[in-house]
Amino acid sequence: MLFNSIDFAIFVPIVFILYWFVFKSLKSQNVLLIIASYVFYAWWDWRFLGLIIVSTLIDYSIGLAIEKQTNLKSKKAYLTLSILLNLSILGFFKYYNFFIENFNAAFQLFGRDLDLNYLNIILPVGISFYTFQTMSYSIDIYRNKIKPTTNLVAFASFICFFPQLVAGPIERASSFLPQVEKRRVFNYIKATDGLKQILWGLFKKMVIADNCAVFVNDIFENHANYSGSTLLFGAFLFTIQIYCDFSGYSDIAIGVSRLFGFNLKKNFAFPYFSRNIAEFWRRWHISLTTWFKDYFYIPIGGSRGSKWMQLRNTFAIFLVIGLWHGAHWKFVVYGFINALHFVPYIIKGKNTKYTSVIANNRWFPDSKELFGMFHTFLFLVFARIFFRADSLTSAVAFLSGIFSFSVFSLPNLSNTTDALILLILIAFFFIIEWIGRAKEHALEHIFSSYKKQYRIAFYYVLVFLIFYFNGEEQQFIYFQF
Amino acid sequence: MKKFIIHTLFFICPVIIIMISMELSLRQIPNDYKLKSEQIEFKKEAVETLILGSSHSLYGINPEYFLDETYNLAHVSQSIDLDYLLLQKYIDELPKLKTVVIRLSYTTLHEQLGETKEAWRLKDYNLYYNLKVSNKLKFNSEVLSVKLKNNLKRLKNYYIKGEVPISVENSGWAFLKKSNGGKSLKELGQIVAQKHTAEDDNLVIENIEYLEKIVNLCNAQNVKVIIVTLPAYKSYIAHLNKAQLDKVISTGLKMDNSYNNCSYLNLMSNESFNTDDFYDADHLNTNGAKKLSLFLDDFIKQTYN
Repeated sequence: MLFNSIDFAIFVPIVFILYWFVFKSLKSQNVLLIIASYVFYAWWDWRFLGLIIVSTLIDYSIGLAIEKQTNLKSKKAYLTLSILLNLSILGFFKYYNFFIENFNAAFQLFGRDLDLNYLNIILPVGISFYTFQTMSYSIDIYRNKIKPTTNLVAFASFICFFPQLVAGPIERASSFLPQVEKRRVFNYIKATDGLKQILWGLFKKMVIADNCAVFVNDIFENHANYSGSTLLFGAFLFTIQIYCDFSGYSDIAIGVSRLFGFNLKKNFAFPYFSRNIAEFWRRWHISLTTWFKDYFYIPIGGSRGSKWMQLRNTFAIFLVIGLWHGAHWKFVVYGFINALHFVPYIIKGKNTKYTSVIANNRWFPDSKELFGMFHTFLFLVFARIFFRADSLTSAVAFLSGIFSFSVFSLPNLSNTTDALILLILIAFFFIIEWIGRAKEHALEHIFSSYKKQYRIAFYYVLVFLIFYFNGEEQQFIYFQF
Repeated sequence: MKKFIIHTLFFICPVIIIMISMELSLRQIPNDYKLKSEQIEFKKEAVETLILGSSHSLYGINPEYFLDETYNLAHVSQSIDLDYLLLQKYIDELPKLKTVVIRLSYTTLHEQLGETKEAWRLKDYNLYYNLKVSNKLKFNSEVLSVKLKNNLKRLKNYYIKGEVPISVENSGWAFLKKSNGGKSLKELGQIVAQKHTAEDDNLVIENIEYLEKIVNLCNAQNVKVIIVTLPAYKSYIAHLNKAQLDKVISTGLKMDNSYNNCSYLNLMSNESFNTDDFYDADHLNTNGAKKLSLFLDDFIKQTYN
């Protein structure tokens, strides 16, 4: 079930009514959430429900087992078991063919033909997200950061909570489980704010991302036929598309959760207003980057030690983040070039600069901030070519297409009017995001100093734009991860 | 909670009211699907030959040139699964039906409407033919299946400009009125052939089953089936994928050999069709439709009468 579908627009109010009016006790509400979440997931493919249930049972039992052990060695053994099981499931579904392909290629280099068979595996939606959630639970218990829950219903709700099940934000048990275990009280302000965030998420996804996709898909699929300027335009639109697609999803997830009395982790903090790459990665897909920071980067040394160690750890985390996106070398390269861009900031010790909001208490950024923002954005436009292209070879061909004289010509687009309208909509989108850049989400306090009627009129404008400009229904990009 | 629900309802109500009004107004606008479902109801006692298929049949086979009472039930982008559902719906109500003509185009085995960008057309089968082609709410509504931008245009054209969006004649046949964009047949051939070449053959087995179901359904009613691969322009044929084309032709021949009530005609490269007979690379114009229809009528007379 897609967030931008009619099915979901009917599903949420039904669950909402049942949740607040029929199932009033904490336990029954949690049971309802599990049922609703399984229905939500089964709408896509019921066959993979078993995987979620297995994953839930494994970490629920291992969590309790870790707690029971008195010596560190046994605790570690159980944690290793949890990690191995989770990574095996993830590895099989996500990386099996990738490893087979590379094993075959590696052996061929030495003149041996292994010829291991590929499997026709469907990647279960959301597997990378909920597996990380279950793993962090066991690790946190091992680290004595949390106590395991004895309530299976609460634990299952934490793993399968439908708004964030298939594409995050990746929640931590320490912040989410207490919310599941405590009785929720309906909060008017929180719920209306949730609706605003849903509205903005839908705008980003259906108006901006899905319309960008029309151009992006065509340009990337037929890149050999396009001029350098068209390719650059395609790369620019993809940079916008991926942000609006994914942050739109996160906005809807967080907004829907608020309707049910939950607070989810903020996943994006206006990353395209970042002044350098380090700031960007603090603001982009926050729940994933903090996960890797806590469970990978810090354990391997983090920013402790010499510059060389810091650089090594930075490259390591980016390569792993790249690989997390998919079993493909292009993602590894994507991670690598991001790490490479980090190098000068680490050497100069400027990677922790810019922790506050850009142009705080000012309308416009200063020239230095503007340059930083432009430079970071431009880097991402080029880096993301590796992310979007079908293969590493296509990405290189795409880049060489850009670095040609035709980059100085006008883009040759199939529909110039639609492209111009899209650019106007993107400009509108950036203005709204800029206004709300210091808030939780762009619409949180938008026009709050104006009369209520104006605010409502603005929401109606957004509704109209969603219906009027909604592009072809496209799946969310991050569903494939 | 009460305040939240009341405020939300107040906000949503105007949107819902507008949507319902639009839905009702859009359904009042005449369209080819509604008209054809009425025409076939009106003619069902007399129809002897029924034509099914996509735009190739819709524009390429004109019932006026058939000796028997003929009706063209083809629609733009209609795929074989929908041909089957339409035939299943009407076959028992067509007492005089003797022949079904169905196209087997380059795309027929590799496509189903629900899987294409034209999937929004499914709502027309649900709404105007009462076929249960999709349970999705989206495909049971005009407002939800078509973009607001296009729906507003439809409302404006009909209610303000007074334009009636009907393209079919009384026989169910339609002729192409729009310009083909000024592109030459040579240019179009390559573009369209590339567009029509499938990325995979996931639907082939299912679509062959639909073809067999159609033939079996007709066999049970003692109705003959003519499977036709319609003429196409040489630049189109030149750029087709050989494997995909071979699959289509071999399927047609296999059907011809396996079923007594079935004949296959491969007219794709038929030399009696020249540049003057084509509207674009894969559609016949009025002249071409006349030529093909007379050919088919002759074939029916010679083979079955």
